Parts: sequence; structure tokens; C-alpha cells
Amino acid sequence: MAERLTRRVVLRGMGAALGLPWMESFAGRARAGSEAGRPPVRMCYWYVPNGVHLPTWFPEKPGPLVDLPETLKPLSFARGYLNTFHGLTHNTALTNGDSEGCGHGQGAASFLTGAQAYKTQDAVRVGISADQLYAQHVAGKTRLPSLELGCESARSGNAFGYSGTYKTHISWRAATSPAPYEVNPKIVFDRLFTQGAAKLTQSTVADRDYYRRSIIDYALADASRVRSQVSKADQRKLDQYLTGVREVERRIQNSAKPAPLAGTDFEPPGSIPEDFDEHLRVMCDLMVLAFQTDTTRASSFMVTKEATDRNYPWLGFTDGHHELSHHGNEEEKNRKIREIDRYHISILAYMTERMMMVEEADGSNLLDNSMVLYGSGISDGDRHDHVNLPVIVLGKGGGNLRSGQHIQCRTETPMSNLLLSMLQAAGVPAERFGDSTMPLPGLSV
Amino acid sequence: MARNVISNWAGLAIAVCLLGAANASFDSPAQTDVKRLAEGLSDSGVEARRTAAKAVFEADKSVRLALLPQISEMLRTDKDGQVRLCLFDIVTGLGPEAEQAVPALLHSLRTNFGGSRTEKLHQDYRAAIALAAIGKPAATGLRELLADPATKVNVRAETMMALGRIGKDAEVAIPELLTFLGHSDARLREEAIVALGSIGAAALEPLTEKARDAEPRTRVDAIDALGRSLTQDPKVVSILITSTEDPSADLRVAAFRALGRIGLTNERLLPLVQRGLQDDQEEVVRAAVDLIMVQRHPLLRQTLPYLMRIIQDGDSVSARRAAFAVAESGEDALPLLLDALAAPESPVELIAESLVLLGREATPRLERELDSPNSRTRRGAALALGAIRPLSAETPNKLAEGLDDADPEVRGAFLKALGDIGPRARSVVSQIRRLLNDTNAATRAQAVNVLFLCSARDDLLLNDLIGRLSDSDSSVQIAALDRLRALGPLSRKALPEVTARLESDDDDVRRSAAELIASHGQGAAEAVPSLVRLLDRPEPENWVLAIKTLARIGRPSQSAYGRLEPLMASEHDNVREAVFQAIGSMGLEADTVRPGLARGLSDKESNVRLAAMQSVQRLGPQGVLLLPDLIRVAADPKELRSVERALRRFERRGPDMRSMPELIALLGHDQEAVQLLAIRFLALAQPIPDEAIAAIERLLDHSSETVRKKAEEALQKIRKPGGPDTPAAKSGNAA
Repeated sequence: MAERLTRRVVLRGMGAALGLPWMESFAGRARAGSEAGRPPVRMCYWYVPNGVHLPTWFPEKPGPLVDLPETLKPLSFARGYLNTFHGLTHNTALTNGDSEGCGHGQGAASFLTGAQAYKTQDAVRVGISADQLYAQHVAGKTRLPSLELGCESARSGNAFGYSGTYKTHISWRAATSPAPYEVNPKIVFDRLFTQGAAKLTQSTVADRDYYRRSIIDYALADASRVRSQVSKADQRKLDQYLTGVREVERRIQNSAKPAPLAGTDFEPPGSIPEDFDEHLRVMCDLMVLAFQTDTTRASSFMVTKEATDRNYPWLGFTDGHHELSHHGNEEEKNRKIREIDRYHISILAYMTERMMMVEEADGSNLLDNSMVLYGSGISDGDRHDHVNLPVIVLGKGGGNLRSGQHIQCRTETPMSNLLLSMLQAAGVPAERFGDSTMPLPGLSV
Repeated sequence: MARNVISNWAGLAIAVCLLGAANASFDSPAQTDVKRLAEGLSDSGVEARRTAAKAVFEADKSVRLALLPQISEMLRTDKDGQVRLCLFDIVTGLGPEAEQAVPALLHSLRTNFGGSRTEKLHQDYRAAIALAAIGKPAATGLRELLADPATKVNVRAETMMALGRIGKDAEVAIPELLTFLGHSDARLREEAIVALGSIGAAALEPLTEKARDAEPRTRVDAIDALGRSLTQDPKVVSILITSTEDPSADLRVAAFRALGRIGLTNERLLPLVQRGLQDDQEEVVRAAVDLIMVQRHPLLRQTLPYLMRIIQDGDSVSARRAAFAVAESGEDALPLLLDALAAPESPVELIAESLVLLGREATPRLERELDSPNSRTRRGAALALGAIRPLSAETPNKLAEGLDDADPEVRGAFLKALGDIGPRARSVVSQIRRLLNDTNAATRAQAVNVLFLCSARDDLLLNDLIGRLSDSDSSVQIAALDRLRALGPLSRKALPEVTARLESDDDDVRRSAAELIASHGQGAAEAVPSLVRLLDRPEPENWVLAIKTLARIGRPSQSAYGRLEPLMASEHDNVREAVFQAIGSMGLEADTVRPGLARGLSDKESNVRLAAMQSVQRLGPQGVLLLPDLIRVAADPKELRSVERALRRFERRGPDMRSMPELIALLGHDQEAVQLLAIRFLALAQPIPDEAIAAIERLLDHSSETVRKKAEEALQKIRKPGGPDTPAAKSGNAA
């Protein structure tokens, strides 16, 4: 390989373009887009619909996160990376003068924008979302400006005069431009590892898919060249990385193609895992790979769409999520909601662990340099409240974020204050975001 | 609205004059903007005003200032929430230059104008933020608002928040703020503390006075406020230090909290913290540990011996915090925590939790400690390894080796750790399975749970769980039943064995079995005979359990209806309630269940009546047959609202023709509420029989004006073209 070994090196082959993880053999130990060798900050935003069971969500007292509430227990191992909040509000999710709304669409629309959704069936308008603002801030430094992922079809009906689009989009490139999420892991994988590849044609991809060959097979020659130029430790790291990519690719290839939906001629696209749990996990793996290879620094993940009635039979019950969220304080419904909440958190814990396993240029791990916000635009699903929103943040934002604490915010504190604080910690020169009034105290280092 | 328009145009006139004075050119772009935006703000259409308000927010400062009079006026008149929020933001952005908006903002806080409930609360917050941005010129008005006894609690809180944000320029409000120290409302106390702390120097003297107040809560609040002032004024520091030895534990806690904030040097803080860590009150020790964890990590190393002593004293809130603090002390933490683990009486679980915080760097050492001769160390190391992430590939195998430990407590810890690892411990499932036959029942029950967490959801697991249903210990049976239920549809194969558990002598086993059966709904039809047999047992609790389970099975349990009928007259309220609740879920014909449900609707207990009413609703459209029975319930004024709710679903299709004679008879009921409901539903009949019309006509002479009026309205409705009494309607229905 004639070129100098840097993070800009991409393993190429026919129809393949694999970014590389950081390795000590890179020249100058600096990584692409980083300042003075510091790893870049990655921002990831998760959304879960229908609110949560609040009594088991919030820690009891502000201060160090010693005792985690029941729902957040799967994150115990990452307590030092975690910030929890009480008192955050999205006032912009209320109707504020409009006639009634159900709160689902408004909750999702305002979640990352801090803006009021315009009441309309078709001419949607809200505001730029935090992930997209960050993507604009780091534009040009990565191959993809951002990733928007989800695990459920984005079709949703209008409700109470609000467009269904509000229930299925948390990322907005501009006030009138929702950024649709991708549900097919294969498409995401190809976007990550084939864009910019040599000789990328439809037939190349079709051949590869038909023979179930790995993308790594095509980049093997480049990989061997890189392998010969790096240290023993880096050879091991490169092998681990390529094995990881292959493992994700294999899982996507093995995803059974679902049968056409009964009673319709609609055939879901291939490579969407039938197993929802696997679908969620593979999407997490793709986000981690995208961050690890610095293919993108901004991602959003809508676990399911707002007001979804998806069920979770592997938890031992088949009631729909939305139906359960209208619990009317029935203990059995609350128990099931708690189980769904905890399950979602266990998936977040899965990604958290994966991020902690990725070593960065300065010896830190990926989570040290990330901020992962997780939450819902509705607090109590039965009341459709938008006060005391269930929101947590994982990660240290490149050392710019204090963590390991429960922050008790004053009543009426806009959640936009948290979004603003995170953007500022990531280096975005914003003084205001959405309906923010000031950065959230106690979060910045 | 007329006043609104006049005011807005007045505002525009002022705006134009102001701009004219500032800039002689009448055609400047700014002036054009002002005119256009002023027109937009005074538009009668709300969307136009919202758009204009947003545009003003984005406009140049000169434009915003020019429009400030109009904005101030709008804050008194415009009712739209989105417009108002935008106006608040515009004023906030102008800061001190928006002084003339102060009266309008205070007016917004004083009144309920512009929203209700949550929306109004947030507008109060935004108005207060705007006043805070204006600063000193707003302080006097805010003080007056705070002193006014008519001011609502949330507005007082927002007012104090604004004064705190203004800071030292709000010193005029200190006397009012001081009155909220020790207040019975915790929110108001907290706001006053923050505000007084933010005002700073001018508040120190009165706060030091309050720190000597006779009222203990006032003293605590004053100390907290002094801490928030972030001052190192010697007098304040002296008070805070003295307070760490106050007889009141609450005051000592507040003093440590305050000392943590003000930035005292570590040298001065160390002896105080060391004393705090030895305090005999739990909450004071906790405050001292928190101070170290949150504010003063450099003190950690110097206080480690004290923290270790707290941990070894046993399981308590402060021990837990101390263990977490030690975990943050760097490379010393692991040996220290392992020493603590080995000490007799130390809290193993909480030390293990703090070991988890050390992360994967601690894994190799902890894996070695799994072979420690000290059983406490083995337990703690296992529990920690189960929770540490990222998980080491070797950990599941290492933990599996400990499943043969002679000590059941240690085996339990190893099992728990494997359960925490979950499916990634699948490679050692065979070792876990062995413990299903352990001599210790608690271990067997735990093995059931851990196997469920680690295994694939397949027939092998199903058979393991079914096998444990015949365990000699009920706790193991219950664990197996609960895990079978969590398998969902897969556990249907286990229904014969599960149904047999309904015969168990253990209440909890029967309950778990019934719960599992019920979770299969109609798929559990085969369990119906066993559930009916449960009704033969003498205890009413078993009847309730059987009835509720039959209800969840639904239609397949219809054969049990005859067995339920006698229970409608049970002397036990909860039995009657369960029966009447169940009837509507069994998919029976309304004709069949009507006599029973009618009895339930007239039960002496309200919760039984409610259960019967809910059952009627579950009958769906068929439930209309019970309309007269439901209406009769309204004779009890307490039930009127729930009856009206239950009747709502029948309003569209009207009454069943078979009910007409009963409804006509109800027109003569002695309760007016019943008569009115009968009138309402008779008027909805399609077609309406002549005898019903005649009966309603007779009510035109009724002694009650309300009845006469409703009868008149009903007759008008019946007779209007297209109404139920018209020939077209009658022929249409006949067709």
C-alpha cells in the first residue's frame, strides 16, 4: 500500500468500502476529523413511545447514582456513565391554543426539536432536531452526515388533525423536512460498507447477495495489505473488527425473508429480521460500527413509532403496548408496562456494553466520547403527560459531561435545556435550542 | 376583540413614531418590516398572529423594540398560547431594554389569562423568565407580587425563581424572601433558598440572623441559603463550621451540604468531613459521604479508612454510599473492597455492586477470587462478575465451576451471576440444569429462574419446567409455573400438568396455576372442568379464583354458567362481584344472562352493581336488552353518573323493541331520574309505538317542570320530519 496509513484509509474492493477502527499504527495517533488527536464526539438519540411506568423510572433522590430504580437496573454496570433527570418538560408538546390533540404525535415531534408541531394533516412543520443540528455542525467530516434508524414500519394514521408523520419521525433536517428512518438492516449495512466502493453496481450487489458472499471477501486484498503494515496488537484488533462486521453481516443475511402479509399483496423487503429482539440488536450493532469507524457521528433510533400497539410475546403476554399504556392504574397492566420498559432498557444496555468495548485513539472507549439520550415524549401513557419526561443520558461526551448523577430539575424546566447542554458539550456553538431558556445546570464539566 | 384591534393599532402608531424618530427615512426596510409585522400581530386570524410573532422573534432588535408597545398590549389581550409563548421569548431576548413590558408581564402572572392548567403554569414560568431577563427594573414588581397574599403558590414559586435569576439586583425583595424560610410548602422553601443564595452579599447578614432562629427548619434553610451564596465570608464560614456540631442532625446535614458548595480548601474541610463520617446519625454520615463523592474527590484518599469502617459496620444507606465512594478511589479500590468483603459481617451484596463499578479491569482478579477460601469473598466476586460489562468470554465457564460449591449461599451467588449474564451463559446450561435436583429447595427454585434466563426457549426448557411442577417444595413449583407463564404460547403444551396443580393444597401454587391458565385465554378450554371442581372446595377464595379464571378463558367456559348461577346469591360480596364480572366475558346470549345480571344490577353492594354494569357493557350491542334494568339503577342518585356512562353506547341504536313495555312502565317510576332516562330512550326508538307516545304525552301534565320539559322535547323530536313517528320512518323500519 503506497498511501500513508491513516484513519482515512478505507478497505476497498469490488462493491466494498469498509472504514477502519482506530489502531495505534495510524500515523500521529490522530483520527480523521479529530482535534489534536482527541476522538470525536458521537451523538445518539433513542426514542421509545407511549411513555413509561413512572414510579419505577426515577431514582429517589438527587445526587450520586448509587441506587438505580427497577427499570434502569440493566444499566447498573454503566452507572458511572449515566445521568438521570426528573422534572424535564416539553411544553411544546401541548396544544397551546390549538383545539385538542392526542399528544402522541406532538410528543414525538417535539422530543428532539423542542418545537411546536403545526396542526396539519399534510403540510408538516416543527423544527430542526438536535441530531440533525449536530450532523450539520460536523458536516463533511464523515462519510454519512447522520443515520436515522427504526424497527417498525413508519406508516401511521393522522389523529386529531395532526399528521401521522409526527408519530413516526423524531429527526427533522429542517422545520418542514422530516428525516425518515430506515428499518432494513441490510440497507443500512450496505450504506455503511459499500458507499464509495469501487465498481459498485446493482449486479455486484445482486451477485454478492445471491451467493451470500461476505463484503469482506471483496476487500480481502486491501485488508491483507493493511494487516502487513500494522503492529501485532493492531493485527488482532483488525481481525476482531472484521470478524465483528462479518458477524453482523451474517446475521442480516440469515434473517428470513418474511411471507407476504396475510390478505395483502404486500411483501416486506428482505433482511428485516422476523425476531424483533434480533432486529433491535442488529440495529444497535450497526450504530456502534458506524460510530467506531467514524462513518457518522449523529444517529437517531426510533425503537417503535409513537402510539404503537406492538406486542412483546416473549415477555409472556401479548397485549399491545399502546393498549397497556392506558393502564388506568390496574396493577397487571402496570406490571406489563414495567416489563416492556425494562426490556427496552436491556437493549440500550446491550448497545452500551458494545460501545464500552470499542477502544478509541486515546485509550478511552466509545462511550467515553459519546452522548446517548434515551427517552419518550410522553411521561405517563395513561394521561398523555409531557411533564417529568422519562429521559436519561449515557456517556461522557468526550469528557465534557459530568455523569453518574440524578439531576432534579426545577418544575417547568424545558427538556430543550438538556438538548442545548448536550449540543454545547459536543461543541455546537448554539445559545438557544427549541424553547430552551438556559443550559441545564450541573451537567457540563 | 374591538378593544384588541384599537390597542394594536395604537401600538402600531407608537411603533411608527418611534421608528420615525430613530430613522428619518420613511421607506427604510426596517420600517416596512415593522408595519408588516404590526399588521400581522393585530390580524384577527390566529395563524397570522403566530407567524408574525415568530417573525418578530427572528427580526432585528430595532424592529423588536419598535414593536414592544404592541407586544406589551398583546400580553394583556391575546389569548392564544402559541402567540403568548413567542411574545414572552421576544421580551426575554430584549432583556433590560424591555422594561416597559414589566406591567404586562406581571399582569400575566397575576391573572389566569391565556391558558389553563399545564399551559398556564408554563406561561407563568415564561413570564417570570422574561421578568428575570429584564432584571432590576422588574424586582420591585416581583417583590410586590410575592408579598401579595392573593398570589397563587405556583406564581410565588416562579416569582422567587425570577428574583433569584436577577441576583444581587433583587436585594429589594430580601425581606419577603426571608419569610419563606421554614415555610410549610417545600417548593416555596426551596425557591426562597435558591433566590436568597443567588442574591448573595446583601442577603448574608439577614441569613446569618436566620441561622440562629428559634424555628429549626428556618435555621436549616438559612444554612442551605448561605451555602448557595458560594461565599467564603469568614463570618459565614464560621457559622457553617459551627453548625457541623449543632445538636440538630438536620442542621449538621445542611452544614455539610453548604460546606461542599462554598469551595473551602481541602485542608480545612478534611477534619470536618472526618468528624461527619463518624457521626452517630445515619443521615449526617450520608451527607459527609455525598460531599466527598460529589464535590471533593481529592478528599477520598484521605478518608478511605473512615469509609472502610462505615462499610464494615453493615448494610445501611451510608455503607452503600461509602462502598460506591471507595470504588471511585482508583487503583486502591479493588484490594480495599476485597478486604472489606472478607471481613465478617460486611455487606456482601453492596460491596459486590461497588466492585461492578471497577469494570472489566477488575475481572481477572475477581475470577481468581472465585477460588478464595473465604466464602464471602467467593460470593462477592461471583456477584460482581455476573454484572460487570463488557463481559469477559471466560466468565460464564469460571462461574459454572462454582456451582458445585459446598455452601448453598455461594451456590446461590454463582447462580444469580449466571442469571445476570443471561443467554450468553448458554454454554453452561447443562451445569445449571444439574441444580434442578439440588438438595436445597431455595437453590432448586433459583435454578429454575436462572435456567429460564439462560436457555433457549425450546422444548428442552419446557420439559425442565414441567418436571419441576412435581417438586416436593411449593416454592419450586411456583417458580416453574411463573416461568412457564413467561414462556407465553409455548407453555400451552404444559396445560395438563398445570391444570393438575389446581388440586394443590398450597394457595400460592393454585393461584400461580390459575394465572398461567388464564393467560392462555380461550386456548385453555381443557382446564374448565378442573376450575369447576375448584368451586366445590369450601373456601370462598377458591371460588373467586376459579370464577376469575373462567372469565378470562371466556367463551369455552360457557358450560360452567349453570354452576355460577347459585353463586349470584352468595353471602360473600367478593364472590358475587366476581360472578357478575365474569358473566359478560363468557360470550353468552343476553337473553340467557339477563335475569342474573338484573339481580346483580340491584345488588345491595355498589361494587357488585358496578361489576354487573361492566358485564352489560361487555355484552356489546346485545346488552341493550338490559336497558330497563340499567335505567332502574339510576333510582339511586349515587349511581346516576355511572348509569349514564353505561347507557351512552346504546344512544345510537336506541332500545330493543322487546323492552318497550318495561320502558313505558318506567315513565311512572317514582324517581325523576329514572323517568327522564326512560323518556330519553323511548324517544330514540325506531319506530316508536303509539302507546309510548301516549304515555309520554301524559307526562305533559306531570308535577315536575323538568319532566314536563323533557317530555315536550321528546315529543317534538318524535314528530319532526324524519323523526321516529313519521310515516317514512315507520315504513323504512318496517322494510
